Amino acid sequence: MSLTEGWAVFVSAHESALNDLVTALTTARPHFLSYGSPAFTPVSTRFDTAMAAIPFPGTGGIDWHVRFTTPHLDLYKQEDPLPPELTLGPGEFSLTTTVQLCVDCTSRGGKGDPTHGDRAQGADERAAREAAKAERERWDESRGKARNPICTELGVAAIGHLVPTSSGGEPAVGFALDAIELVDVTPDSLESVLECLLGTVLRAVLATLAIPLSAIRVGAFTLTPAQGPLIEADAVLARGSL
Amino acid sequence: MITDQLDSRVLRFTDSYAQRFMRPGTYRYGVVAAGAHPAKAVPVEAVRSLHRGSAAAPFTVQVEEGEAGAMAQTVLTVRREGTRFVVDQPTVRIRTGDMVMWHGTDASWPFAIAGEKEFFGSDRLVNESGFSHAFTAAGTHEWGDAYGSGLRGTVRVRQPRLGSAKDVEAWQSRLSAGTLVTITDAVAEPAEVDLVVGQTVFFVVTRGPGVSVTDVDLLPPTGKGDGDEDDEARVAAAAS
Amino acid sequence: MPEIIAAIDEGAATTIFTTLAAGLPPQSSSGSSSFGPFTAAYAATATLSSPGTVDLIPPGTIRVADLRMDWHLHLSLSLDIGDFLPDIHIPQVCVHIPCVGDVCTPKIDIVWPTVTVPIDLSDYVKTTVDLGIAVTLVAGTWKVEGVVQGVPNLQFGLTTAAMLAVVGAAVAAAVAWVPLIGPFLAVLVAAVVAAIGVAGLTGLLDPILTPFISGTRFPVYAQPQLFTVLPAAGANDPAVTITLDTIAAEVQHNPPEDELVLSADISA
Repeated sequence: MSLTEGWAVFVSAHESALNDLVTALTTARPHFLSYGSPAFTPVSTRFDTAMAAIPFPGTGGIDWHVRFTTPHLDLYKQEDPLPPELTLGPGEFSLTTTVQLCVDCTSRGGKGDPTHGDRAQGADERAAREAAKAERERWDESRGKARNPICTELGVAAIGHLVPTSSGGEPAVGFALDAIELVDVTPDSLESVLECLLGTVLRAVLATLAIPLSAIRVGAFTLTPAQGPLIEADAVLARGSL
Repeated sequence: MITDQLDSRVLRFTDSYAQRFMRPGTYRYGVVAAGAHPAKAVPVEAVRSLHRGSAAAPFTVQVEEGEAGAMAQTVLTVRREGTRFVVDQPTVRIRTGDMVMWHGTDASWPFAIAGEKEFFGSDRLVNESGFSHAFTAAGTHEWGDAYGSGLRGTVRVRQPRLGSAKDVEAWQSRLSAGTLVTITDAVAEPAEVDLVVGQTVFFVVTRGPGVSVTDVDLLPPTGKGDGDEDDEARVAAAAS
Repeated sequence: MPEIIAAIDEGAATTIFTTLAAGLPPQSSSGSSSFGPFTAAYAATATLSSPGTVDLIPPGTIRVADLRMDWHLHLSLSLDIGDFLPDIHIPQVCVHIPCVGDVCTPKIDIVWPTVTVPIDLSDYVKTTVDLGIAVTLVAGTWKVEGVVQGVPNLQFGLTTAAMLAVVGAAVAAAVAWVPLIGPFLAVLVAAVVAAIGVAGLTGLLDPILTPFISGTRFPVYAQPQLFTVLPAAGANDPAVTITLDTIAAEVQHNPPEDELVLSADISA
């Protein structure tokens, strides 16, 4: 069967290429994946996006920070493991990432706890303290200093579909989330709350990620898409005219 | 544009200027460049006035009293050497009534003969002078006098048909037959002449105020041809 | 399996090569060459224009039919007229002037000059060329080019007779000023044209024009190895780049179509 299938041009990017593109994007502009209020992120930089603190009476605002690791995408057919609650269907992608959630717990005082919510023992405890110290040292460099950051990390899995969008005035591939699942959060009600919260955040984050079609075809030929972009056989593909 | 220019003021390798000397004496003359464009030829009389008696008239025609008899003709060849013109016989001795004819061999350097005496010069043909021109291209030459006497004539030159070597031979032998046009005052006889390419017309001035034989295309618009007001400028340019 | 695949069908290939041909800059060359019995200095320019159709032939041939090249050739020919015409002279001419006697002009030898004949020939050629696919990485840039294979057979637009007529007219114009050339002009032009002949014309044109086509490279793809995904958009948004690790190109038969396929492997 022909690649172009009656169209003038065909382009496809295997999921490994798509992951390379997402990695390149989030490595060059990590602020897409990292957001915080003034105690953590006093000003927007290449690494962080500054946001407002959560207002609450009598507090002066609750300072927070959210950061995702570079998402890994798996295009249908499924190769990456998923929580049983999620099923990857035709034309869909799965996404796995780790999210770090932090608040500046000023009511506690003293040094911050380790990043994981669970109590760490022995060597694990030392490693966790080192990680927390590294976080504090980074934030300590900025003006708005979180006095008592408390962080946790959660594994996130999601299912989504591609959406046509634009970037810089040209066609691009965007990512829309359909379902999200957190790993190992109890009780279930807390998991649901966090899934809703993180799902909202992750949808917003994904809305900022758009891969130009020119990158999908690495500048070869030109393409005005008439078919796609869509997911087929572990790749993103599109067909159309010159 | 006429590729074969007819102008007695500008002598080319297909032309000659002839002058009879009727009185004994020493007649000095020079050879001057006639200029790239005939209309801008330096008037000989202007040169004459500037260089009278100078090294600009280095050649001599020595005329001695002679007995009446057949006219003898001396032919002198003008050549270019470096930046100057030379004559193969710088001094010639002739008798009264004889003719001296000048012709050039260098197609690149048109020239004029400038004698110290007014009657003696190729720029303006006065009594007992002549000018010959071999016509090298087909065409019709309507000619006139650059000095405005009203003298007029026509020479029609046609292309010979040379289809064979025999034709070339026949044509070559025809070239030795010349045509005489006599100019008396401001009248040319015959006024119209028909030739083939390669043939020669000899214009003889028996009497006249000083005329030229010049393609009308080369005459100035007024037809007068003197351009006195331009003479000094052209002389100065030629001298520089 | 390559990470990135981009493919076009023959229709798109025709469109692309039409654009590529039109976008190629004019080519020029100069030098001297034999032109029949003469040596002529020449300056040539040529411009390619739209091909008829493109046929993709697996595994690696792009056949461009009816590629047209408009060319202009300026020649400068040194012509010694004496090589073609006999020596002639204007003999001594005598006229009889009544009451004066015979006056004779001297004999005038006619020395045929050597003239420079400028000749301008313009025409077009059509040809069909096979392009091979060349993939290179030079100075940090990946290039995929269609390179003409072999020596194309040029079909001229004008007949050689028409071109020889142009040569004849140029000779006639260049010698028009020569004194006494008129009676001999037709003979001279015919002799020069005959001396050059069809063989001289094709012997001149082929070696000059053929390299314009055989040396042509059609730029199908050119991208820096460090490929920009997104340009910089402010201090917090530097350029996003990936590395094109490998590029490959070939013609594939993917039934029912023949397709030109570029493939790439990338890394972040």
